[in-house]
Amino acid sequence: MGEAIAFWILSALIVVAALGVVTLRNLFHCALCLGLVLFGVAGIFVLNGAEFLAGVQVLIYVGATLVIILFAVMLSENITGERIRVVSYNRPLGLLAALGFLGVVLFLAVSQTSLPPHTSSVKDPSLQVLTDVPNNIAAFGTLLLTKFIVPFEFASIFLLVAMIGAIVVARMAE
Amino acid sequence: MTLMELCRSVAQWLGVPAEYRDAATLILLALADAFILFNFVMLSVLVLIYVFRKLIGFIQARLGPRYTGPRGILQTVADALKLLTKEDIIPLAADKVTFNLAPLIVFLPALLVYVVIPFGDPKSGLQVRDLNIGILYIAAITSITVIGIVTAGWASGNKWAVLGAMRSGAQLLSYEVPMTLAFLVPVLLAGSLRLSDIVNSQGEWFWQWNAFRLDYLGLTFIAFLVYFICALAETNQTPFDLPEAESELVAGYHVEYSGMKFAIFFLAEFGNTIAISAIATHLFLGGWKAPAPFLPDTGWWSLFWFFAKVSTLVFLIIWIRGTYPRVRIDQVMELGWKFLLPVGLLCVTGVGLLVAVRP
Amino acid sequence: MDVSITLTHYLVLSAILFAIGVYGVLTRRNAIALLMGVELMLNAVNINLVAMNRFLQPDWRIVTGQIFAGFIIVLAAAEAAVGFALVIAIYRNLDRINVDEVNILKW
Repeated sequence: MGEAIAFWILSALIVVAALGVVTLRNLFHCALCLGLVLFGVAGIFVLNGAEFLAGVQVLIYVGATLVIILFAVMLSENITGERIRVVSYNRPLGLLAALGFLGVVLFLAVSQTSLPPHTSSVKDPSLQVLTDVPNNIAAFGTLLLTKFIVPFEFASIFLLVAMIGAIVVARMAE
Repeated sequence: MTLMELCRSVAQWLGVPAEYRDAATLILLALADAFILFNFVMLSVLVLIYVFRKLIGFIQARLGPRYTGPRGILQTVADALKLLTKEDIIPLAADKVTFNLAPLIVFLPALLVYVVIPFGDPKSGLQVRDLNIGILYIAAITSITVIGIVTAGWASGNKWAVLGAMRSGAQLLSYEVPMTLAFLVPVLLAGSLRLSDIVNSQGEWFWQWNAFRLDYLGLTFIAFLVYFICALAETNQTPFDLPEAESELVAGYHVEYSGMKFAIFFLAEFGNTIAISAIATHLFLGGWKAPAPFLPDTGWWSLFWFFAKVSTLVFLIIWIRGTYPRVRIDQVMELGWKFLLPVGLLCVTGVGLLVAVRP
Repeated sequence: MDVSITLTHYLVLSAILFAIGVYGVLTRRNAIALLMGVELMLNAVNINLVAMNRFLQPDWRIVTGQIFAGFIIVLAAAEAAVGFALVIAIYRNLDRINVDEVNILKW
């Protein structure tokens, strides 16, 4: 029952804050509402037993990506203090597209009563390392460094490339 | 009677129906814990401000507060009353909602980080929640402070505030990276992110604490120094207090804040100071353990040792504040990226290699 | 409350969040607001993955869905960094960040 209360509170927070992100006119307020959405999503992760991922979500999304957004908002408005006003164009078309998509997905989600469960188990040779992990973090780390080591290394290189690219693009012209 | 039993009896007394009694107990327990933590932070900041002003006075060859109460003990109370009765000015160009919200966003992490910090032996119930992701939770929560500071600067509608906020935000972000690397060293040694596991992995004698371990070639001591310097930068303490110095950019991001909101910023700063000292003692100085195995360190004695170590670190921070001059912003950036980051990487790599090759 | 939270609840929440993100991307013309809509969509996908990992994988130790969501978080952070660097560079040169008006390669 505790999960139900938490789920409904978090869902309400996420949906209201997301509506704030896409409808508010002050860009900074939109960014702060996005921060609320990210916190709500971290809460949903905790509800689903992904505690390490929730910590990572707050650390990276709220602590870094949101700060990038806030810096971008501050650097792209006149320093004299006029606030950026964002206006929505094509509202009926956007609403139609979003509601159409939502209708299709809700129909699929509600009509599909049983999805086949996963068949992988700890007895598989590639998952043997997981037999005695004490908690979710150990499971995450073990799997990341044994079965998914190649994507992990690739993600590191990708981050390096992105960092160098962002520095080069945003640098002041010589 | 433990806190849990007290909450259960209160739930019973309130007449909660039987199937909701467990949930009600948990909610009451959470409220009681929040109340205790909040009071602890407020009282400790009260004491800390007085100690701080006296110590800074003695370092600067003067006497500090003397007249309010015997030996100036009630000085903080007088300051708090003064700030409470000051007029609450909101500038015309400020954005009201975010202007009022920003001090709360800065204060919230300073309070939330105490949830995972054990004040003593967790088996004696001196920790609110021993989370599996203890250290990650601390790193995540302290990164919310940046958002509060940037919001405070932007919401003031003042050029100088925006510039000060961007400088402060850049400083905080730059020092998060070496701080996280320094966090990783005790985590590697303990094999777990839980704070109680990290403290339990340190030995009983004081030369077996993480900071002084010689079998890792002193790399853990370097990690302790890196963590300490980065934590000073994270909480805007001297020598990194450029963002809030009155002579730089007219006090930076909190130039437009007066009265109680200004007080909340300073509560957050002092709360953060105690929090980083507490985290440093758990990660590197053996937490609640006594310096020798024959000294008692269970139950209330663990509280005593914990506070002794935290007080030592806070004294060190105040001593540094009274001794060193301020560092310029470009020097701050250079120190963070060009010196502390490579040193942090070296520590993590070295300790990781030693952990891997040792049996 | 007799209805317990099932996978369908999380799928519906994720669909609503994704639809709001789609609406944001289609109606906003400010580059920063557009990228925020993209972030909403990525978070919706993350909720989906983590919920499916919990309900469809009976063994709590196999966290493949969470690892997938973790990679999405990492890639979204990298994309946000480069995207907002581009926004800052465009603003510095053109003094505006309305994506409808930034439509010529050379001026």
